Amino acid sequence: MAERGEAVPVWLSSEQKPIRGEVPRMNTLVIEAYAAEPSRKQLYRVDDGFAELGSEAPVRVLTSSGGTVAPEHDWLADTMLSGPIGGIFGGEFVAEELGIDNLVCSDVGGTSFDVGLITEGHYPTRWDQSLAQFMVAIPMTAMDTIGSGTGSYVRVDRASERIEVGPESAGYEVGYSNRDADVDVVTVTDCTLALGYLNPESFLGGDIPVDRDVALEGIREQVAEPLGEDVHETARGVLDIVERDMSNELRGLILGLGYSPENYTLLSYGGGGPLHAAGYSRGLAFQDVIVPQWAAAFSAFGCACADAAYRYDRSVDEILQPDFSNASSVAYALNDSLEDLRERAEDAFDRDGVDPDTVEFRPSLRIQYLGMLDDLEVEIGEVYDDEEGLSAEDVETVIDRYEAKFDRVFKRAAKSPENGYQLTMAIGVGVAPSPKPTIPDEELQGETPPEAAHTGTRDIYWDDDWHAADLWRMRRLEPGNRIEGPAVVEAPATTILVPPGYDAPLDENRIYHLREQGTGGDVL
Amino acid sequence: MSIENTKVGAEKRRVTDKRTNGGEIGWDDQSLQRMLADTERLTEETGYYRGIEDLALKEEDRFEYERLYSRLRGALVSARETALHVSASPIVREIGELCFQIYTPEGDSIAVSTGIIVHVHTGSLAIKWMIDQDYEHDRGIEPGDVFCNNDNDLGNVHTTDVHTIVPIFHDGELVAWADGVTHEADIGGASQGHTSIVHTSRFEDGIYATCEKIGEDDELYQDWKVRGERATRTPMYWDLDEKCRLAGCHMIREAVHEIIEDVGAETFKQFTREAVEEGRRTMESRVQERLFPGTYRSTSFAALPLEEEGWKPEQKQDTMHHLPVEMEIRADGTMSLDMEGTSSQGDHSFNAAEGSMTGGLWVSLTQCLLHDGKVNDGSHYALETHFPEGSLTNPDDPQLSFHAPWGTIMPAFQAVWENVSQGFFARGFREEVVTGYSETSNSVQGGGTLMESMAQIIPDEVGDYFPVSPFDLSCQGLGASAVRDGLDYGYAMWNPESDMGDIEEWELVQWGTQYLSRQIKTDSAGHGKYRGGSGWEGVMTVMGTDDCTLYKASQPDVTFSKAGMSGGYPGSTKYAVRAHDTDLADRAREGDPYPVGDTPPGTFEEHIDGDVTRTHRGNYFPKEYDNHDVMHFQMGGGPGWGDPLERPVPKVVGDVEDEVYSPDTVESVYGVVGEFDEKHRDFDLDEPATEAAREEIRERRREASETFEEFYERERERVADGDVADVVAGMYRDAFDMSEAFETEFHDFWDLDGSGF
Repeated sequence: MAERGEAVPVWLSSEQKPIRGEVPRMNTLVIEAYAAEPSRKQLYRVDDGFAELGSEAPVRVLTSSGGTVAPEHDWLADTMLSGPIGGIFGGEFVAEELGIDNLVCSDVGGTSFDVGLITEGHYPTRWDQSLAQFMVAIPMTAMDTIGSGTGSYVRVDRASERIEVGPESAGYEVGYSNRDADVDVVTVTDCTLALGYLNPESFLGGDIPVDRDVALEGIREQVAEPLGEDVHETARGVLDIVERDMSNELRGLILGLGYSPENYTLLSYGGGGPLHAAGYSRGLAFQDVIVPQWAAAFSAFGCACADAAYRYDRSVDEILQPDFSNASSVAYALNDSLEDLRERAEDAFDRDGVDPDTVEFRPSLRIQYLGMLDDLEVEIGEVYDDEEGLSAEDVETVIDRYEAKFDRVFKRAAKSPENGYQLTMAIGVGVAPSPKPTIPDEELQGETPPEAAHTGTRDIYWDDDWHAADLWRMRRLEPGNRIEGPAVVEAPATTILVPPGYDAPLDENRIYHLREQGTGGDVL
Repeated sequence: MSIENTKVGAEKRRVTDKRTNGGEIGWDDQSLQRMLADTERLTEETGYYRGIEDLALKEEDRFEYERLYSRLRGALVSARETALHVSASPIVREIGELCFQIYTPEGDSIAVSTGIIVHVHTGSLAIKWMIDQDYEHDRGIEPGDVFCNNDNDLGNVHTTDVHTIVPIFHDGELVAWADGVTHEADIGGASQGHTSIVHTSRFEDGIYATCEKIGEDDELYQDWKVRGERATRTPMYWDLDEKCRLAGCHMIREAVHEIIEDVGAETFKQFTREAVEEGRRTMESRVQERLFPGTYRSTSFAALPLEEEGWKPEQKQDTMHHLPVEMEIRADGTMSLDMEGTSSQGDHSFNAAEGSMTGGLWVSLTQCLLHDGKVNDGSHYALETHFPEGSLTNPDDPQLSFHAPWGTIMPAFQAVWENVSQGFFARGFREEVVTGYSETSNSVQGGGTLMESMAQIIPDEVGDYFPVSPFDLSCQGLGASAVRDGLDYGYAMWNPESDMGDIEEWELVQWGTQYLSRQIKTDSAGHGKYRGGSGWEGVMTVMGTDDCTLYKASQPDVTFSKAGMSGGYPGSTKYAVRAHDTDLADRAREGDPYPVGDTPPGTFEEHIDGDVTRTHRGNYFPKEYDNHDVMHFQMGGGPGWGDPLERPVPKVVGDVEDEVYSPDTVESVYGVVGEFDEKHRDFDLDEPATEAAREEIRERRREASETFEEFYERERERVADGDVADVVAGMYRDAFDMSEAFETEFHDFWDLDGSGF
């Protein structure tokens, strides 16, 4: 282009994103050129704006694989779609701070239920995710989504006489009961309102005027009467369906990784998470169900937990013989790729003015049995030597780790070491630690909450009956307090439902532990 | 791995004790045969599944019932999601040709996972066959057993669909069956590939597992594994796919055990039966909701031009298959599907067993009528089918080949879809209309071995053989609806979830092949007010191989299967071009152009020197491909809906600019005239010329119009004189031999008095 005197920017996916799969690679390139590149100017403007206001910290953007990058980063497409997964990084931070090995991060929003799993301290990265229905070659923190949220529409299918929930949603318009919106169909929120779980006076701090009678009337007319059912039973039945879908999703994901719910703690956040957590965790026997007091803003909190990190990937396609007879040549080829990735990460930090000595290099490999199509990511930081790279023996160690992971994730019966191995991708992440938020650590007070926190009682419907629930104002509660169900803990942007037979102690970190009584241990 | 200390081991001991004492494995100490007979009798007598008039569980607690359903289906879906990772074959992994079902003890499906839904009823037939053959007393059905079936005649779609079936026991009783099915890349056989058009009999089809017990104590028999290793060309895929099916079935079994633990065996049993009855009722109310009652008819045709291509004497003939479909949609929501008048079975691989046809039915109805995923055998009970015995759609000879029944299913269901679409249209659901689809071909298949120098890096266990069976074919043009154009290059009738896959992924599996291109196939989409989705074409070469054969299964071949609807045209037919002994290597060295397509047809040869073969026929039997030989293949377009002259001109301009249609074509069909600047993709519309061209088309139509009576009389004379192609006359003669009723009706309609063919 220079020879022709043309000022045309050139992107080469083969250099910047050498990842197998021409369609996702091409889509990513187009997204980079068309959508991500123009955002660079915007980021500079934000940076300038902050500088003018006196900020000395540089603006950094979260990537979908978990670290932050400078606006100068050569592949800004990596930053697409980082918002919704912020909660998972927050989960990782909380897990590390509190010493939780396995954590399920679950977020109930207006339109969807999002889940990410942190297993043995790590969240997996996936390549098969899509962006606005385009397949992309962007490593993304694994998050699964189903179209069930608080705003999901509830309808009766007249032919099958079945209740259908979602996937369409009223979203921010909340529901039929919102007198300021023009929603014709009842939603999940209308059901929680009808059952007494939500306070109609203070929905989103009172900014949205919802009317419980309107909700009840809508549910009666649109759902209960066509089915010939009682209106409250119907509302609870809707929540059962929604929460069962959510539990199915959780169960499937956890079993899919070769674990069971007993191995995990469930973290619930988002505006609707704490309201539905008791419902969707039922029957799954999690070790613990936790709700941070800052649940409503947890995803934003998560974004602030990320380190500065540059991740580079490269397809390699090395075939390793089943008897490891070519392990040295495989090690040699891998070292070549990993070294290149490390240089790229170091260059990025060099550009940002970060001292290379503070940068940690975290290499991984993606591996599969030859002929299989599903590779697994194996971290090799512990065997990789920064000077020497991998040796032939190291390759065998790496394969041992791969096989252990394979056993767990897939069924042992499918192990096929006789086919040999294919090392499909080399991954290098340079990480420079960044300042982190702190989790509150406060002195424990008594079990009994202060009188000032109690705002009254409201009847709630649970397990086919009405119960008088205590209402608590969240910000007035103190660490050490134990909320006994039936109770509702209210904050402007979220509500915790503590059903009859449950309690919820608030610990020194301002995290609630939702327990079905008689099942949980003493956490305080 | 021993099952001794597992729940399955304990169940096995319990069942063994029970059997020793003369007990039965069915519910309440009945035999499975007795259960099956009762179910059939009660259903027949009452019109309700097993006589269940009240859905007691659902009525008592609708929400608990829904929870159970969603939990059971969730288990199937999650088994599929997990098991997918185990499979190696791209057909399963990338294309998703994997499905899990759960059946009642008597073999009625209760729920189905996502995936290739075609198998709702196939496992059912196989289980019922095993019960009928008294496996429970003879071969034995015990906890930990594993059965396998791919015999179409006993319940399958095509021979390369392989089922793993596992019984689930609780408390000494068989409470359910889990069934997993995958589509194999190769099962041995006389020719390579998953859907061979070469075979003439069962003896050429490859491995047949005829409801065979292949394992016990959760382990596969050694001899069964050895057979798979030695009898398929791709033993690794065979092995891993089998592991994938078995792992999924075991996950389903665990989930059923958990559910029973939670709700109790009685509730589970009652639930499974009510779920089937509920499926029946839902189907009926859905039909009442969406379709206008009446009798609907349509006919599809499938050409099989094998006179030149055929290998065996008995297959060397050009034939055409007659696939008439009459559907009755009744006001009470029941339906019938009748294929009286269908062509006879034959010495080719297109024989479709009853299981294949019901498979086609379910994969169709789940797309147009039962989209909520809650489909099961209840729907089967709401619909009567008649596939005439001894015909192409229900052969009575198990010795025939059943390798490529899709060559019959796909055209036949074009007629089914037209009938159902007319029913939607009559009811006012224009959006639900689908004019049909491009059948999934060209299917490129074959295989080869790598050159010695290339083969060295492949571990011995894997071998140096590579299969060629890309699933490019899963991206065809879909037909138009009555409100919008069909989906472009993105649809497969048998699995709407599937995807063509990345070239770079396919090349990783098909070591000896290299793609040279993929591009839109101009003029493949059926014309109409709403056009069909476009097809596409590709070019492939062979490199680094020692011995490679490739062939192409093509449909529709030299005829259309069916027209579009309401004045719409069908999509284009297919053809074949290939080049052997080429100068591709020189071109690559010199940087000269090579063929990236054949648009307009005839241009392929402009960019390659060699021995070029071009035939009007789309299919050809396996040919040897040397390195640098070049193959062209194409995927078809869907049929259109409505008169092309009603298509808004700006849309036609867009079609040219998107290379869906060529300027010549839009001028002759749509009367749209202009200059196309190919480089800038800009079509400069000539409005006065367009107006004149459209008027000219209308004028031509006015001149050519005639009354129905005139048309009928003219056609009647042709029929009476036998003035049709020999192949067409032969098709009718064969249909008359098959069905006196059809012959009588045909002769009455054309008022033939014994004349004609």
